[in-house]
Amino acid sequence: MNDFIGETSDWAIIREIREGNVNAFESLMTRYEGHISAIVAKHVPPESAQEVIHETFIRIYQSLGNYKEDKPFQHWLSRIAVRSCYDFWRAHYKNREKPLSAVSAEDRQRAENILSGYSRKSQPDTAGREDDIRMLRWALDRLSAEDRMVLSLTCFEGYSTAETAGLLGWSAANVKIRAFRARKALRKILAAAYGTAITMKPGEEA
Amino acid sequence: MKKNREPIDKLEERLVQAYHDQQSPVMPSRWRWDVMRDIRQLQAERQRRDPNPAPNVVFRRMVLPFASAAAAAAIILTIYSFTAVPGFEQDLFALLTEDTSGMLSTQITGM
Repeated sequence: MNDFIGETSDWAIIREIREGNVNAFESLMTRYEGHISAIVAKHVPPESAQEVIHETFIRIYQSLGNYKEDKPFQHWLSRIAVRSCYDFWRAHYKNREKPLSAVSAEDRQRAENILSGYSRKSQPDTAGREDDIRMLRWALDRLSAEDRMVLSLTCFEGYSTAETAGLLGWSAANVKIRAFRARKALRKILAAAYGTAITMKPGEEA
Repeated sequence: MKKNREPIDKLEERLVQAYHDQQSPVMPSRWRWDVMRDIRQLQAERQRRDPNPAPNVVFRRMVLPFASAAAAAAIILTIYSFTAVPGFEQDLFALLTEDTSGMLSTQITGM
C-alpha cells in the first residue's frame, strides 16, 4: 500500500471509489498505469496491448470491492493484469483458425540469423534485437496459452513457483509441471526452427 | 554432446533477453478518458440494478457530514448554559458530588 507524503494513500482512494466516487479511479489509473503497461507489454503483442490494458483497468474497478487492505495493492493489481493477459491468449487461441505447427523456411532463416549474430557479438544491435523479439513471439505463439504464460513468468521473469501460482491462481504443483513441460516444448520448437543439428537434452525428444 | 547443445542454449538465452527488451506501449491521450467512460457506464448500470446502497455507505454519506455540526452545536449549548444561568456550575457540582447512598435510603424508607 503506497502512502505518499502529501498524496492520498491508495486505500483512501479505494474507499472513496467504493463509496460511489468513480472519478477517484482516475488517480489510481495515473498512479499504476506504468506498472500495468509494463506487465501487459511483456505478455501480449503490441497491437493488442492497449486493449488488454483497458480491459485490465475495467477489471480492477469491478474487483475493488473484494480487495483487502492488508494485502499489498501493487501485487493485487499484478494478479489482475497477468490474468487478463492469460484470458487474452485463451480467447486468441480459441479463435485461431489454423494450427501453427509447421516451421517455414523463413522461421528457420530467422533462427539461423540470430545464432550467427550471437556468435559475432555478445550484445545485438537494434535490428538484431527486433529480430530476437520477433523470434520470441514466433516461438511463444506455438505454445498453448497456459504454457506461454507459465514459461514467461517462471523462465523469463524469474518468478518462483509459489509466486507464479499466486499470479495465475493455479496450484504450485500445476505450475511446476507446466513450467517443465513448457520449457521442453519451447526448446523443441527452437530446435525445429534451427534444424536437426541441435541435439536435445535427454528426455526432450518426446 | 555438450557442444551440440550449445546453440539452443544460446538461442534460449537471447530470447530471454528479447523478452526483457520489449517496450511498454505508448498509450494515446484519450485512453484514460475511454476507461473512465466505461467505468461510469458500469457504475450507472450498477445503480440501476441496486438503487439502495449498503448501510455503511448510507451511514457515511448521511451521518458523518452532520457529526461535526452536531458537536459544534453541543459545545455552544454547554457554553451558553454556563454563562446564561448564574450558579449553574455550583448546582451541577453539588449534584455530581452529592451522597447518592443517603438519597437512596431516604427514598426506600420513605423518610
